Amino acid sequence: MVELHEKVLKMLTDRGVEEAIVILYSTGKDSVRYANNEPTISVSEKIDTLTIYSSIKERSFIGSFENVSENFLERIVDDVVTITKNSPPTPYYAPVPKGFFSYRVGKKVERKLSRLDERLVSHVSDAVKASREAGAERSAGILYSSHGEEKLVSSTGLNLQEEFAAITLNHRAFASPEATGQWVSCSTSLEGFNPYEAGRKAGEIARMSLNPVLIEEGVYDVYMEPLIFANIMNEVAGFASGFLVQIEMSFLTGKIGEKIGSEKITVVDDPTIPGGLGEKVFDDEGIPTQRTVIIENGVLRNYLHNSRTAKVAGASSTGNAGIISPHPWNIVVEPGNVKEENMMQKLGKGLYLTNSWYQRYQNYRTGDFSTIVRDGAFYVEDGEIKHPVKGCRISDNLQRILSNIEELSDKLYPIKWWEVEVPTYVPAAIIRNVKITRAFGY
Amino acid sequence: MEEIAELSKKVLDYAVAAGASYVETRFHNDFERGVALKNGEVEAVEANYEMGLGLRVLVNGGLGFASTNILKPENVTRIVDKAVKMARASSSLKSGRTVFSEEEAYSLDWRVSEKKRLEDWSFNDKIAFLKSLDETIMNLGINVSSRYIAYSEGKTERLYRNTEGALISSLVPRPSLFALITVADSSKGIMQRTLQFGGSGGLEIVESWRLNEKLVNEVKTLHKMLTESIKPPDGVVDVVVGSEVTGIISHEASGHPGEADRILGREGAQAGESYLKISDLNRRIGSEVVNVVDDPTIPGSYGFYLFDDEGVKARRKYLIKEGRIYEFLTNRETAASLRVKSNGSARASGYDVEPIVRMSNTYVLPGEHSVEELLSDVAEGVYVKSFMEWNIDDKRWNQRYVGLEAYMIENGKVTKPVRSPVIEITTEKLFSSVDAVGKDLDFTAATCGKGDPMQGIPVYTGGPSLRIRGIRVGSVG
Repeated sequence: MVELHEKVLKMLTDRGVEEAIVILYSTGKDSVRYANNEPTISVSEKIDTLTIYSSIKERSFIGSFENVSENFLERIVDDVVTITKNSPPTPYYAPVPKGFFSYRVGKKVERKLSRLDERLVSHVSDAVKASREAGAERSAGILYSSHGEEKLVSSTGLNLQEEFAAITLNHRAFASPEATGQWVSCSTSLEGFNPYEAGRKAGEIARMSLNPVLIEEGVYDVYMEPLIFANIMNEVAGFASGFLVQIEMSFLTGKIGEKIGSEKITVVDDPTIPGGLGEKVFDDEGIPTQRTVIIENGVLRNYLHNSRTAKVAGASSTGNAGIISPHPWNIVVEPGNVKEENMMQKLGKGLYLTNSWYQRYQNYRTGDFSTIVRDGAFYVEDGEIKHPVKGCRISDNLQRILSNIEELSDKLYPIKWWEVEVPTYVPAAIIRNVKITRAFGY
Repeated sequence: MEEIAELSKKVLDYAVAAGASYVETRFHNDFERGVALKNGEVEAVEANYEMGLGLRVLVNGGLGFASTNILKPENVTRIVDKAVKMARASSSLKSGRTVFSEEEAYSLDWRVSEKKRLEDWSFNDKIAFLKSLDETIMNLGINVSSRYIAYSEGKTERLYRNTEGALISSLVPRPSLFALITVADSSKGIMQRTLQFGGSGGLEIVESWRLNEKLVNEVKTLHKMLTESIKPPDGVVDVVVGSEVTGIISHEASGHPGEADRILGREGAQAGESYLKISDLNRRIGSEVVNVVDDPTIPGSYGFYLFDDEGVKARRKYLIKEGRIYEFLTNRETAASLRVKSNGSARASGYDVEPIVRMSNTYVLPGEHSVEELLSDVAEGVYVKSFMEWNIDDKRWNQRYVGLEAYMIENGKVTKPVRSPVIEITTEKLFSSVDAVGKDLDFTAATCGKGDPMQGIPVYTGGPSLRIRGIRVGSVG
């Protein structure tokens, strides 16, 4: 039977489109949101999306369509052909990839994650219970389980298919309105999913955060837990996108080969890790994905490219399309060699920070930014927590942060939550001389 | 739409039969088309069509939402069953029941008209217009090292129906434009500006942005700030902020903390809670000259609507009146918890997400002073007209705004440009330190993010210039 995406490709080429890539995504996603220890809403979705790239004589169009019933196909195809024909040629045009690509095989997907239904509620219950046992009064969060299929065909003969599944919990515990802790559990299998542990850890951080002291402004050495380090490194790797680099919306613009961080820091995009949250076999152009080193021992090695940005840069695609903007799939910060239990001692004196949010830039090109520290934050002396602190903001520069990384722990955690859209595997980090500011008027 | 009206009626009947005490459906037919210029050349032409059905059910006091764009009867039935089943399972963990405030059920159609139809502005003319903007910028004799200009026009058509008899259809066209401009100087470095424009209506909205004039001014200003600015004062001084900065303050420090779902803890794990408690109505938070409203009914505004996504009639709300907390933003769920009527603040970014409490056009009401009057009484201070970096903590108390176009004020006069002055301040200190409000009301289009999954919705932030006495100003780095 000819499937929808194949049918659309044929309709497009029959009507004069020279090159096209058509992708059909079919996703099913269930979630339970909760607050004050109780579910607030359960959500289910079943959505098919067609993504179409087309080009005629270097005129190109990219669109996504959720009106995918058969009745609308004629209209979609008519619109795509008309718009493509009427577009001006673009110098950013690159041919649709063709060739005999070799793809990884054997990706395993746990399809049952799409059929958990009411069991999601009991997982929420486990996380809430664990937080209470750890000393929190109340919890809020969201649990997602999802399964999807992606099918890609191209005018150059590619015909590809892969599946995804994941279960992710983002859990925040409150021991008081000021004393909060947040942690996640993210996995591609039920076996690797541990809502109880996420609830326990969030609850424990919340309990430890009771009665915080207002932070004094200054420059501190900082021990960052994986969650806050993932928030920052997710942005760093995102800035390797060839598109963002070319519009100067990145502090990495123009720095290939330069030392931009400490020797301890190596960041890769690796969608080839079996069972990884961001495991991916092919990109939106059908090119096989690959492991790409972005930063190696502090030196910026590679940007992430699709065919278009690669053409502008005189480079090759790294299998990271997005047709317009390439992006990482599965960010990995290579671990260091410090045992987690020794990190506090390595810090000595400074701040132990567990989470952040709302990272914004004064200048993308220079990397001047600030972000709000949230959830557990603690003042440390002689390798021991002295007391929780509040009111902290990191007001610094991304390259300076990378350069001041002194230690990384030896264990990686998979992080995907509200602030971290692309799955990010990170250790904990010790970063020297981080500028911390606070608000006037406390 | 007749077919859809029929389908939504069937969904209501089916869900009630399956055990739901309340059901609503929201059908969207949304499309967006756009074109982006990267350094003066068309990157690609883009389009995004979304069409599908979202529904909410109350079952045993549990709330469920489901959505699909596969409108075949067997699939729609399946997702309704799932919504009911999941809502029932959730209810088993609840100590109380989710209820909605009682509201009037309207049956009507509302739409925003295009005085000049966007479709009549040919596609090639749109591209030519963007290219002419780009050329104008490049002919200023300033080193603009990169430009990204993205124009987009969207239309959202919705049909809302619930088991209480509401049946509302609507249509809103919205053009918008985003730009990132980078200016470089060999000795002074690099400075950047992001700009957003948006409104509801047709080509007349795009014309009202006066893009040519504004972009030219922005580029010249960036160059001036980059090449001439000095370090800002470091200490406690008076500050005058322009409309753009007033707008982000009203949005972040008044609008968000006034969202009842945050106050009740429902956004606790994501956007967070609020410095406000339910009992904080009438609490003094600012000086008597501070009045903040949220008003979805401003014609042509980016956050315009007449009925919200729960079918409740929209109206202007005072968030802060004469310096005191006056009203929270509510939807039907939070209104029931607070034992009030909803004030029509429920919005959903698409058919596939639940409606949650949102702002629309949030702004400080204008006063009577000219900008010159505000400045004239400042012996030493900083005038912050625009900003780039900003953020605020998840209780909306501890915020930071870093100025972009900014100047020293000396003896009542605007003098030298200053580089990236930092205002980092608590909400109460900020609003309490406002001693005079300008009459130069203006608005800035923005996309507000909230919810999980993230919902970006169009809003205006706005207000006039404000004079803020004796607050700390610092610098970046």
